[in-house]
Amino acid sequence: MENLPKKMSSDITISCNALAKILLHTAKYPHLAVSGVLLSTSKKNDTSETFILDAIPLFHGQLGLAPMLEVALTQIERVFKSEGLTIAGYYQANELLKDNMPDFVAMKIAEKIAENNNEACLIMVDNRKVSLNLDTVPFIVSQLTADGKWKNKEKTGVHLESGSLEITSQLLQKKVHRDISDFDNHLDDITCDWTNKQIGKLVGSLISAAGF
Amino acid sequence: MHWEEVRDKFRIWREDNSRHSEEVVDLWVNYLQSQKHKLGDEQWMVEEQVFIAGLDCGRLDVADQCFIALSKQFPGSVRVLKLKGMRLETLERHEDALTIYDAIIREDETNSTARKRKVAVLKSQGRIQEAIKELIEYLSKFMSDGEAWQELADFYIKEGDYGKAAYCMEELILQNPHNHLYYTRYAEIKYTQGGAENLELARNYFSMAIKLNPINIRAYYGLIVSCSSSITSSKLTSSKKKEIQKLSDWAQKKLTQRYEEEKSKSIKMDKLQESLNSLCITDKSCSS
Repeated sequence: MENLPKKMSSDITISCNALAKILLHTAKYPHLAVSGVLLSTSKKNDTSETFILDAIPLFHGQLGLAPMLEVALTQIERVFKSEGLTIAGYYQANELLKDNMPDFVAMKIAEKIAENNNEACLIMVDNRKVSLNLDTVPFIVSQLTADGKWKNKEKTGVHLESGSLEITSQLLQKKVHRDISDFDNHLDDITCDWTNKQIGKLVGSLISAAGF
Repeated sequence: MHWEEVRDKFRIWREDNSRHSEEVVDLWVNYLQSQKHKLGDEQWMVEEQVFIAGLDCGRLDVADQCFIALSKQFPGSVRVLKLKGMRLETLERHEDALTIYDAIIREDETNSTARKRKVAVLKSQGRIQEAIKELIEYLSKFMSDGEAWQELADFYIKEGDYGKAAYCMEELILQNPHNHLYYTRYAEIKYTQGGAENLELARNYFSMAIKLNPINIRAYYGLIVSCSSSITSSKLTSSKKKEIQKLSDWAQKKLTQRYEEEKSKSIKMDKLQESLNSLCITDKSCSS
């Protein structure tokens, strides 16, 4: 891995697909902490911004154990490498409503991801800003600085695919969160699809129906 | 939906201890509330269930109606008093809730739910160390409460104290030597702790979990990763390595079989789901 002093804060854009999956996952388990990873298109040059294309919901409840996380990361890498996607970050929503600080588990996993992708970001869901009518991105996004600290990104450096808030609100109102599967669900019942292709398709059709 | 169907659903959920709060509130408001006088004595259990579901979903309007009915029916009941404490918790009046729980415990030292609510209050305030202390004290009196041991293990994992978490799981395994889920969790904790000795324990406990439940997918995956970590990290004799490799190959084979088995079924399911999705949700989205 290169350890060149990197320029911080290239802009990040979050797709509707990723926003929707993270919030649906959070809404499915309102009484538990949830976590997952972010996928982005592999970069061709480092001037372009990071585009978070997709999110893979991993766990709910207990987030601090290593074995299934290792299994999940290996599988994700294998499935998505051929599609030109790489793991570009980690998201977590804490159990307590008011708690939006990353705990040691979040930091440790995000740091591991950052070892392979130095633009990796850590998204903490700001539970209090999640609602059925989203008016703002309920995320606190941070990136690792050159001196190894996680620094919150300015709101101006985080963009959303247009229409994302409206579409995600619609999905939450329609209780689509009951249909999202995470890796934990898959381990309990292997017919649960942790890539959530159905929801991806649904988001795609809503985007085109709304004409964004 | 017929009210009797809803009653049966609620009954199952009460027995399973699964809350389904959102659905409980929906079904109650739409189908059962108007028929509640037909429930007989079961009405009060349902009112309590809906009350808690209402608190879970922030539907205090629903919860309060149940609470009024319950306190009229059972004036001075300790069980209703506990519900009052839970309502205060929802309103974030933590100290008031604690006062109620303490009063209940003073009155009835063997009341375990009030003690557990106290742990929950501390947890919801983020006072994890104090919650752990309270829970340990609780467990010194109610040693056979598996739910509480599990909660304590979760606290320790959250704090990164894997040694103590493992101890809690050992206690649970002693109490329930046939529960494969406890073996799996214990193995996961040991793997996370790391080191050759713990990896070996992880392998053994994942294997035991599979023995107890041959379709425990988590345990197969766990066995495979702990085998490969053992092989790459520790200094083992070549015969030992071979043995571990064999175990890993076996788990891999079993896992592949499971996926093959489900594949034919799931292809059918995928298709069904697809047609369902395209029917209901996109239709709604166009009209909205």
